[in-house]
Amino acid sequence: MQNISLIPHGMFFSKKGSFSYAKLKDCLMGSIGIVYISRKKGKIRIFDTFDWRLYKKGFILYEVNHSVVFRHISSGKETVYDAENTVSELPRDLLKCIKDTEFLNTLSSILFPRALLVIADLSLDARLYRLENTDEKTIAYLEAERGRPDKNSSVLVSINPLRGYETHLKAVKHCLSDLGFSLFTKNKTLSFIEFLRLTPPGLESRNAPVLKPDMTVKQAVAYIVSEFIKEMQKNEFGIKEDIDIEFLHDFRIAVRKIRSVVSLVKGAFAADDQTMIQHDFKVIGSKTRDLRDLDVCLFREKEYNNLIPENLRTALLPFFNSLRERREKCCKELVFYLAQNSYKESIGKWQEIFSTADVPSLKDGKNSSDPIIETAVKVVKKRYDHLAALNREMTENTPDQVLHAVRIDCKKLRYSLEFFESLFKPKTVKKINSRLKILQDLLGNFNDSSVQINTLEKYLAALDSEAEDSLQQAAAVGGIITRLEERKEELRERFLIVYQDLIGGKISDLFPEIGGF
Amino acid sequence: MAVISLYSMKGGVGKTSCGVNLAYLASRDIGPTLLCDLDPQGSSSFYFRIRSEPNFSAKKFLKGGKSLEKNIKATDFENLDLIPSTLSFRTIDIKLGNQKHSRSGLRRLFEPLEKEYKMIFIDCPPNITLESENIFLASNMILVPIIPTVLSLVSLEKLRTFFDNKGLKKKKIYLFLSMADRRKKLHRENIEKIPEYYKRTLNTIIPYTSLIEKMGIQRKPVVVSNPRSAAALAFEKLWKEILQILNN
Repeated sequence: MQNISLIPHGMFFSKKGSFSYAKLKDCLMGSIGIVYISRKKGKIRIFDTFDWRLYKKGFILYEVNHSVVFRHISSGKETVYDAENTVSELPRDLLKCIKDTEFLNTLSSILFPRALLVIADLSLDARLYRLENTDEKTIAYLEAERGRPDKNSSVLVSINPLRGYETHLKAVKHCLSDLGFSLFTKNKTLSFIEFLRLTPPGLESRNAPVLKPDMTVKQAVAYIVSEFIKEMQKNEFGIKEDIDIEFLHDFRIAVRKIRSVVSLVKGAFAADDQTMIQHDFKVIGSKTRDLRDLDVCLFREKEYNNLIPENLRTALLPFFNSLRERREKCCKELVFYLAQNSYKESIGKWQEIFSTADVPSLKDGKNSSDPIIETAVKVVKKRYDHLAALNREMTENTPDQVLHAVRIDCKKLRYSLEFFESLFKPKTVKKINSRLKILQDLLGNFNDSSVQINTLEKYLAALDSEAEDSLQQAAAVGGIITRLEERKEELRERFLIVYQDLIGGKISDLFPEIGGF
Repeated sequence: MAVISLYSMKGGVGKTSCGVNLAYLASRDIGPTLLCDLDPQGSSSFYFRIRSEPNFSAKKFLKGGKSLEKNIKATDFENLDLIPSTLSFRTIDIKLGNQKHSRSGLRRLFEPLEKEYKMIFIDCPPNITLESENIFLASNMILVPIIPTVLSLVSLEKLRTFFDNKGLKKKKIYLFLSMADRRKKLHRENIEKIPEYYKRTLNTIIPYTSLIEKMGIQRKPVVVSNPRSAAALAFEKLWKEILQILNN
């Protein structure tokens, strides 16, 4: 059994279905022989941050055959490190086996402040063949691979010609083409990622639940809630291990979406049950707020430093150190909360309740038996109308509170589109959501800037004027506040353009395609 | 990069079989290795089942650069490539004669390959010409197989005289006894005498064995097809001896 590699050498061909050694042999009619050599089997684990920072910088990092491989995508250049003695499953522990400090520095500068996560586990199974000419001289190796995560059972065939025989493979290429294989012509690593169907994160909504058009309102809402409870639970490990701040973020989004779906789709459950759901998840959400605010602030440490002159940067250290201390405390408190019986019982109860499609333990609301397909259209239209109504108030001088309200409305519209994405035309929803996401990101940054200004102002107010470096600290914090205020104004201007496009431009024309407009 | 040529002006002394086996062992032990089959007979190419491209010629070979590189072919063994022979190589001598630097043409040709290969073996044609002189200048080591017979010693003497006349370094020449058959009295006597006569005679003796002759049927190095045979073990020993000399 030979070792497996992530990216086979040579040319790639693929097709849906399987590779038939016998069919290729028949097609070649003896002009080129094909001889089975061996089977290759193995597991490959691919790492990156949740937002694929390595990939975006042109690298791919993976573990195979007890080695860690760092590959440059465009050149194919690889650096291999021995990971024989790694015991832990955590990616950060895997890197401990690497002693090359230059590599580790490069890696951490790309990753910072994100953590390395496992983004795919692949079990590979390939068969290796030798292609030989009439002198029985090997001219190339052919590898037919199965077992990729692609369950549509595509098969990947790679041909690695031996030096000097690159032009001797015309017959093989013709035969593969006749057998339905098509050649990848792009960069090898990118082609491979495409074949693996590992989609780098883009504008697509994460974890959109798939609803059936014949579901009732109660069934659909219950299904959505149950999916987001699972999402919460999936992220608990990452929060407890404090691997990456994104775990808490995703956890919070799941909590928020549970509350949102129950509130947006009125009458799915009886009023008292609805209140109980809202209450329980509000409590959970509130336990995470402080930590998230600190995460956001600390996440921008590098950015903040770049906002002020170099000689003032050291004066910011006490500020960030105080945040780090508070964060550590908040993180411990949250981990403690998640381990407590009150949380476990609460989440366990709701998990149990929503585990059945019809949710018999919750009383029906006034709209429980309505078809979800009709309600979905009504909900989206209502949210869109509400957002459009705010248009009248939008000027360059719109106060922060109104922009905050627009942000909440955008979020509600986006969530409602995501909840019911599977019931609408996916392409239309994607187009609208991509624009909504831009709008929401702008407003999110606007809101974050406001929160951070607030935090900085509080710190400034509490600053001991007698302290040794209080003047430098005040200058540094004041400098950031000024730059954040300037940024808010820039964001406000950009927001108006995107918002007008959504409400009155091309994007607004897409809403009628959803129906009910 | 080291260049080792397998040379004898006499044919049938075991140059090719030795070159094929040593090149394989070098590729196995030290990495990328190139075997250059300069004998128009093309026996090394035949052993590795490699044919040259129809348009490959002595002219393209001597042009070097891309013309040469694209005609290098991989053998079935990792890290071992080959420049296949073509009948056109019989004209290398004439073409070298027409070149400006007629004695150092081959050395210049191999220089760019230094980046890619750790070792180059040259399987030489059995003659003593301008091409041979080029090979001697390009090589770090000239390995001369000697069958323990009178005629082999005569050819060796002629080679030494040639080196003297041309001002070449005789220190590059290393002998080893090849196709030695201890059943023959003459072989036994010469096995004793030759190392006394020529001090750079390697200790390893390659025995006469049918397995080496069968390489033409197997078409792979004997160290691969019959790694435990006496012939294979002798080639392994010879390789270790060579490596030691190069390292020193």
